[in-house]
Amino acid sequence: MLVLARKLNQTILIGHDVEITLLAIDGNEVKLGIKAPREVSIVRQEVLQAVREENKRASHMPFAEAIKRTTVLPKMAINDTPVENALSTEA
Amino acid sequence: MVNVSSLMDTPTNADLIGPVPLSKAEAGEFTDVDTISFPGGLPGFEELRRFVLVGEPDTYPSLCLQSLDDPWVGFTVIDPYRFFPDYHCELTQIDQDSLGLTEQDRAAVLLIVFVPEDPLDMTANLLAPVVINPITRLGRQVILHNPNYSVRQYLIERER
Repeated sequence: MLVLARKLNQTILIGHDVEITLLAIDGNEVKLGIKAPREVSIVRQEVLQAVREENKRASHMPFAEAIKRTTVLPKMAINDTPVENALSTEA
Repeated sequence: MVNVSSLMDTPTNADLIGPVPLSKAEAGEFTDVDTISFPGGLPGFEELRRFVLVGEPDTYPSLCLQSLDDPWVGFTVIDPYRFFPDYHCELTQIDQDSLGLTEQDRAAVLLIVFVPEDPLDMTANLLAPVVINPITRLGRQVILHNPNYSVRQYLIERER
């Protein structure tokens, strides 16, 4: 890993097309501004990691078993819960 | 409380893709037309590029996004709008371009679900929907920038 120190408003260039600028420092947290071409995806590492792990967890269910379990659902009324209200039931 | 049987009669946005019926899937009867390409794979499964969507009204609300490259990998998916009518999938320009979507196109949006022993405790990944362009048959699992969406959202409210 290349380690560089930056002061506020200084920029790092990566390749020809990617720029990262330190925009603000607030205690333990810094704000970074990122310029990159459209085709370069930018994501927080822990978010990508969480999605990877959730995909792995979800992929272990054979479809035949999933159908068996989930086709009971239509027999019960399901709340069409707006997502904002459903937040409190986050697993 | 909404009567789900009425929802079952409405077309899902998955129908845009034309899922392969279960019997054909089990017989391995896919054609190239059925294949959906994920150029980047999916997070955690980056090397898997070709999938088919399997399902029919008898399997609803579940469909299966089945890997053609690894027969052991399949994801149970649902139509988000049946469980979360307010669900908003906002695509960035990067996402749209990678799928060949123009402003007018309608993409199919599906959520990967985790189905535990008790199906009432099913959770859906709201934060990272699977988005498919039915015309180009390109797909991508997109990570949304919505802090309210979780990777493990219960579909059904109950005492927990």
